[in-house]
Amino acid sequence: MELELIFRIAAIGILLSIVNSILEKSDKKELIPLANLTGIIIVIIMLVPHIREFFDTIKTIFLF
Amino acid sequence: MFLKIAGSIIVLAGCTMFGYFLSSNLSERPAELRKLIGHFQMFENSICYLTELLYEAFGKISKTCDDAVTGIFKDTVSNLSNAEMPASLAWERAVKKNINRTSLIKEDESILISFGKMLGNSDLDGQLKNIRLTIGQLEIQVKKAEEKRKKSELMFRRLGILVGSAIVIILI
Repeated sequence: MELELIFRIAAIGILLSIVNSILEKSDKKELIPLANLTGIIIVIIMLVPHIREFFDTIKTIFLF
Repeated sequence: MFLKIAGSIIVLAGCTMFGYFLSSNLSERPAELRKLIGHFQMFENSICYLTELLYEAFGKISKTCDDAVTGIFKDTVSNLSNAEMPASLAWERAVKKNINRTSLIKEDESILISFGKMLGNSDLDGQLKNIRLTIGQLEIQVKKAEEKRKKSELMFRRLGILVGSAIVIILI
């Protein structure tokens, strides 16, 4: 498992928290859920190949 | 590796500049509205105390400075002298031609156009009242624009930088 991926996700999390605080300061609270959702989707897209890999590994263990 | 660094710097710089561009648009609008108010006060002066004609007054205003807002007055003068059209139509066409070069929004445009509807079809008193009404409306717009600028100017700058760095992180 590469460490790079974890760092990338952590960086996105930090950026999102900064974006949240900026949006809250400038009275655009309605945009906060949108920003969070975007972040989550980006992270999930990054994780999809690894999740697939994980299921494949499980399959090879239990179902030959 | 070098290509990656160069690319991320370019993306970051581009997003930052886009944020600065948006925020500069926001801070230009109140200045332009103030300039318009100044022009209207000048117009009021020249038809009330100097008893000048419409195109003389507009010509004088258009010579005071050279930007998109003043271009409205300039184009009205040229519309009036080149083509035979009523003052209201000349003003409306000039507004529609120049509004895209300014940072003014739809609301400001509709105020300006409704000013033009009364232009040149009533006596001096009616004209003065119309000008004062427009100045009052523009002052309200200035207040609104200032409020908006205070709220969003910093946000656009910071969001530009942040979105740029987010793109860099995702693509690296």
